[in-house]
Amino acid sequence: MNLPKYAAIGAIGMRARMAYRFDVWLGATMPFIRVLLAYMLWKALFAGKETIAGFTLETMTAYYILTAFLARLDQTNGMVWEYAEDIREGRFAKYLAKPVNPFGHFLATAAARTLYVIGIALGSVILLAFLFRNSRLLPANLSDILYAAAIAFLGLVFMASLNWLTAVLAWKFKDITGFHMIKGNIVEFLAGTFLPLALLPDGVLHLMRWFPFYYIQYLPASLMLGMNREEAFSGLITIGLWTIGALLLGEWAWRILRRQDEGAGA
Amino acid sequence: MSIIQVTNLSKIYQRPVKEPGFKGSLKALVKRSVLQKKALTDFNLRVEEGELVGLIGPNGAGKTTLVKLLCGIIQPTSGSLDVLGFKPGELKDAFRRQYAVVMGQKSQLWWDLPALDTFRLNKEIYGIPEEKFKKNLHEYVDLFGISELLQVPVRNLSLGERMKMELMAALLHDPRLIFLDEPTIGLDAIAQKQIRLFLKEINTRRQVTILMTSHYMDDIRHLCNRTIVINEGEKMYDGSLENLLTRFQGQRDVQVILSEPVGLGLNLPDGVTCRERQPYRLHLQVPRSQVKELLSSLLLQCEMDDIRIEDEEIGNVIERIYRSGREVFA
Repeated sequence: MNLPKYAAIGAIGMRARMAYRFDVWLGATMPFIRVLLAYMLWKALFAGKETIAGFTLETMTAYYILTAFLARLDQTNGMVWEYAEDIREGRFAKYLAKPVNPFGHFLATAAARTLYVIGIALGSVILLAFLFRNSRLLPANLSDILYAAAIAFLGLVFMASLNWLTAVLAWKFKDITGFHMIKGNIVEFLAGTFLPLALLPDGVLHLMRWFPFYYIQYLPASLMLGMNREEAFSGLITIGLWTIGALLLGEWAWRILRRQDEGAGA
Repeated sequence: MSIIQVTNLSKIYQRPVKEPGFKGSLKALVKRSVLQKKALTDFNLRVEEGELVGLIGPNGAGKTTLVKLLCGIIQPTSGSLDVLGFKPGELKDAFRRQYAVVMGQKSQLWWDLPALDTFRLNKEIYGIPEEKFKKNLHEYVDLFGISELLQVPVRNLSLGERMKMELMAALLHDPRLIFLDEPTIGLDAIAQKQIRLFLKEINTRRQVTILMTSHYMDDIRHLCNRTIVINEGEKMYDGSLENLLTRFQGQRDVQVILSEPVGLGLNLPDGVTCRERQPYRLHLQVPRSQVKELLSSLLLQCEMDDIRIEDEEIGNVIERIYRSGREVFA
């Protein structure tokens, strides 16, 4: 793979994102809204209690700050609409007529948007940590940080592959709105964006460890908080295998389905 | 050596059909009917390096389908394709580096950024060396005279300016073959002329093979040394525009300005069609062989201030060919 080519694709995508200042500043405020709402809710629920499912109010707030940040890192969910529309409207030709791999293009664009979000949202996270005087956001050891970063990275690649697969389904089904929305809601719940998965019954939690969504936000956030350390290595292997599977499935679907292009607008 | 070889190429689209109204929508939820639309049928084509070929035909004739098949964007139903020595559908990078496609109604430029950003992106995508990139960019900027527009966001450019940028973006990597799908659509006369001159220059100076579709006969007349007429997915004519016109431009347009108004009693020879009749002006269409007869008849019947005799408009000729279908070539 020619990296400068894909770096240039990512860079131009990032410059295009920066064309609108209002959108840039709105993006920076997103983590604040989610964390403030969660804080107000959990403060009420913690009234008179020290811990809930092993979380103190401080770790719970730190959990929401971390998952708000991690959730923003996956930018491919929004890109599905753009690529599916390109396929439906016959504009996908712009990727096929140039010497680029369309999935490489998708990944490069996603990576650039993620870097952009890190730039915008990291400042918000630091500010939130300062506002809440939350010391739990500083993990105790380096191995926790490295495991969390590696698992979160593989989780992002997994989500990119899953969303690529969703986008290319537009060749088959044309409109993938319903499927994509249902998938999005399920992923948000299973990834622990709404609630820490530790609140679920043990049996359900055990089952979830076999699926990839557990490793997208919940486990990396837990590791950063010094929790679930014993799951770090097995988690890395599990999400790694799921990511390889999703990459292969996405590539297979793309090769099969692009041949069904009926050339909209021809 | 042929740069494009197409043999018995056919493309059939599967088009979903749905009855109108709410009932039709409900029915389609359960069972969707599909209509087969033949876009191309047993199409054969051979294009040599350096040719400038014009594809003309009415809407839905199969022109854009042919371009998309040649680029590898869509797959054929049957038949074989060889473009630059490759099978287009395989989308090999070595193949895609050697051609460019410009679709008049679909942009490759980044809307919110200056065109120069897209050019720089293409430099990386096609691996264009910096020196060659600068040389080509300067050459095209000079040809179009648009250096001051390179840093203006694409969304702020006029349609004509955008098309010039599209062409530049497509040509920076020195493609051997360019597909142009209606490159002058919607442009004013000045911009159309500039783009035609540019394409002619590129074809002549760089020996770039160009295959273009257009609805504007002026594009074909000024640019193409070979014209292919396509209708309902079949090739109807392949040759020079001059030969086509010699064969089918059998009529002359005669415009007469009268000194005095003529009434309805003007007698015109058989075979002459009156396209427009005003008190002081007549617009007639007459077979070439009857021009002399018509002039004699008019001189006898009315006083004329001016008379103009021209070949029939090419657009009308082509329209007649489309309408007549294949029998005109039989």
